[in-house]
Amino acid sequence: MNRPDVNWPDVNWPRAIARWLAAIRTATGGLRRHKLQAIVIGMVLLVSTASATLGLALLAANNAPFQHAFSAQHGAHVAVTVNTARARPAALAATTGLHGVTAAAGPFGTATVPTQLGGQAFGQLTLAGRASPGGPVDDVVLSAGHWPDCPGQVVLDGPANPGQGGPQTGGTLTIRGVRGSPALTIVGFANSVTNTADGWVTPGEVTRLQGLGAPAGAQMLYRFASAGSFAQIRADVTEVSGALPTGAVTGAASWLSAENASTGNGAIMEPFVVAFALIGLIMAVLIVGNVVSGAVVASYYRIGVLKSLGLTPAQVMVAYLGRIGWPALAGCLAGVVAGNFLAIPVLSDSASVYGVGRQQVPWWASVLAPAGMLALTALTALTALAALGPALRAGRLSAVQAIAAGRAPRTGRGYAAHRIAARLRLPRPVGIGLAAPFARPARTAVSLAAIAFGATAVIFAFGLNSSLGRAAQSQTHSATVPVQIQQNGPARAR
Amino acid sequence: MNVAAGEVVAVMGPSGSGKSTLLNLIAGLDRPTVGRVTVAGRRIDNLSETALARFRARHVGIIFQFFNLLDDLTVEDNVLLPAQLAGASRRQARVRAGELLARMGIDRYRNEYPARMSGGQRQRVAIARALVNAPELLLADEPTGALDTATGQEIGKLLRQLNRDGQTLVLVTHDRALAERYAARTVQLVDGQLAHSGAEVPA
Repeated sequence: MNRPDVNWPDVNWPRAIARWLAAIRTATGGLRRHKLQAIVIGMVLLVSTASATLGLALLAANNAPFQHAFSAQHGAHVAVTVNTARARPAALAATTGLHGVTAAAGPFGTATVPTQLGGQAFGQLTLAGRASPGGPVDDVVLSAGHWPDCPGQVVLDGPANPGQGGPQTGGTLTIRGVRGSPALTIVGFANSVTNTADGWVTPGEVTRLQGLGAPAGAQMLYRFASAGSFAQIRADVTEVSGALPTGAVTGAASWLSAENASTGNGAIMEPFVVAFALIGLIMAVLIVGNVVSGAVVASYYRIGVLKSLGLTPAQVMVAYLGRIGWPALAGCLAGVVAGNFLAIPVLSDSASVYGVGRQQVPWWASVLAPAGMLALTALTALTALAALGPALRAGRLSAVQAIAAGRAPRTGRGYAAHRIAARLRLPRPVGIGLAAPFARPARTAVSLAAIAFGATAVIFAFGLNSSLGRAAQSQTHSATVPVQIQQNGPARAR
Repeated sequence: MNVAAGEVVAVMGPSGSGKSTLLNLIAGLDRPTVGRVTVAGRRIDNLSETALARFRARHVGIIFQFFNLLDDLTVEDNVLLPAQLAGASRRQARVRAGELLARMGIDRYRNEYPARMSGGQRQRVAIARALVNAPELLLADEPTGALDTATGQEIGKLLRQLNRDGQTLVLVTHDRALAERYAARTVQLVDGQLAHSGAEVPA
């Protein structure tokens, strides 16, 4: 038989496509037969992306949390308490059109009453009557339960899970100091970013409590064009007071006070939250870099064989990015979902500490984390492969040498470590194992760094969880003993 | 050193003399620091990496001592991969691979994985892979070095038959008997230098 004349198609574009398909087929064939590697890469990317998403979410949550919540919830610059005996509803409504007022809500009837929970004194609470949590000013965020829809129900200001001994959904709050000591069922928990009330009931319930002897009053909530300093706030309150009968305004709470309190609560946690977030991000980068570069370096033998068969450098890259890319993509997508789920309890604690209603994973964190991890995977793989490319061009590492390099670690490294290990009174396999990491010092250093960051992250995670829990608990306790200073003494029921 | 079309040349020499390096230079797997390499009428030492890869895929077949098969591909996929890289459709490549596997006597293993085969069978797969694009030049680096004597002789006969069919072959070997039995000419290398070339060995 004479040497056959094999004549593959000469048309350029199908030939090019056939070549690229062959390269991709090589990659997918490898994926099918390397399930374990694919699973490991997928899992690593899943954990890393989840960690990165959580880290970015924490960084975002820690970035001016009060200001973000104040903006999102249309916080009240000033909550003005009024004596309804002196200010008629029409006069109150007229204040919404005053110069400098950009938005207003109210009047909401209020009742400031001493309470009991489970037979123990629970402090004096200001209950506001609101038909719904929303509105143009002070959009109250319901974190658990439902808004009161009939008399006898109350939603308390505070975290959804205040801890053991604290109020729980379904619990009973007894109102003291009024006739009959009526009981209110706790139906939920909510947050007002500027703490305009300690609890919310239906408007009818406030009227009922006032009828039973609770001090009558109402609150007006305002947003002003200028409210950046205490002086501006004073001027705004003076403007409102001037528009109402003398003695109608009995108190005013500034958003700046709420901001100071929130900043004080978060100050202790801020370095921990930032450190945890950064550790998570660094660890994710190290682990992904280590695993992906390891996967490519371990493939040097195969790369050498493929090159000897005629794969171009670009085809090798496509093949390996395909082999690493698909499990990496799957891991990243799953990681984003996992990161968002993991962030729910963490951000709930964080929101409690900062005294804001709700903190969520920002959309850009769910995009940036997987995109960053995929880019890192591609970059690591390309770097490892590109390191091979120039070497081939320079003649330093031919395809044949790549095959040889893939069969055994490079020689000439770790000899001293092996000599020292050989002198130790250890079983020989143990000595060889101890010295082996010194043959690949860079890989060993990255692995050690990843482990160190991992251990630190675990310690931080436990510490952070415990600290956030205690901080939230302390906030709950402080919320049960409110102190209110009123300009002209408490209003009396008519 | 020149190799004529249809010739079998055995490159011999002691370890470290540069036999494998010479083969790698001819295959375009390595680059010379000085001099030039021309294969099938085309100078290859100054080609880009991509052009060199395409040249290898189309004009050169390589047989390695340790086979260098891809263990995660079946025997058939191993053989048809270079054809696909050279531009063949999968259907065309499968037909060609089938012919070669039948010729090598291993067509019943086409769906097996190389790791489950004997050394001789694996080397036959490697030869089929090297021949799938009908290269002008077949390079064999110690093709019997990892095989027992009987299997080595079978592979030697197979290579000889390929040459009788018109295949140009450059063979690197330590095995003087193999060279004498199957090569038409031997080239001796010592310390990277051509010490002896052109002596006809009776076929």
